Amino acid sequence: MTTVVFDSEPVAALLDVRSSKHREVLSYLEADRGRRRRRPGGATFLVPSTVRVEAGWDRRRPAAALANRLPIADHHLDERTADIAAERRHTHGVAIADAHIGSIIESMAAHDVVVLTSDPADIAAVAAGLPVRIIRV
Amino acid sequence: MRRAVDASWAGSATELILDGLRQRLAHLAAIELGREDDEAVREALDQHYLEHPGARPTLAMVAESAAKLDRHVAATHPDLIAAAVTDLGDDAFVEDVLAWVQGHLAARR
Repeated sequence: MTTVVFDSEPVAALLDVRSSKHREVLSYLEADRGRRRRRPGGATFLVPSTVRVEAGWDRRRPAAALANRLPIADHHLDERTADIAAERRHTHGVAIADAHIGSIIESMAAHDVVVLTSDPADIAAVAAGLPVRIIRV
Repeated sequence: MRRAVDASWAGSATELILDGLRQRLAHLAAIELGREDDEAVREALDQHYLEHPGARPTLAMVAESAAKLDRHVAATHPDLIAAAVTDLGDDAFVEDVLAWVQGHLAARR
């Protein structure tokens, strides 16, 4: 089972049809549509709620109409993941959204986690050696 | 069925049959719900492309993204993906593009 986690810039690109990366971000969702046709199941797409804040994905806005219709679920911090995120932010001095992504990587270490990001170095730092595949967008 | 009842796995043969039917119906319902979700996403994307024709990713882009998600060997060969699309055409399936690249790499060895 693959879990694809969105970082801020891919989210911003998804929301803005004029972004040079808009098509590239959509290509991952299209690729997953194709995988679903070929075999049961597919990837789970997650957007950390803090990434939504950073990228300005307000689900109430008309500009979010397309993104809202795509199968990208919100990931919220709970007691455990908030602790992990706080520890990662303190240790690595990263943004709150990156720390949140780090907590997802750690809490889903048994899964195949893929992070779509424009900043692989930050994600690699916050992953701190945990298994994760980082795809630059 | 009688053995299952004798072993107290079920109260009666009818109960076993109903359980089987319930499971089958739940399975079919899950498939149908998944299909409806897939159709809704397809509709959302198609409507977006209708409003913004330039937003549709090319076959090469989708193939490269699929290769990256699947850890396919083509992921590191965008040049070959482009060659495959040129050879197979823009309406080819992503899996055919990836197979073309895989075959090409195998022939090189």
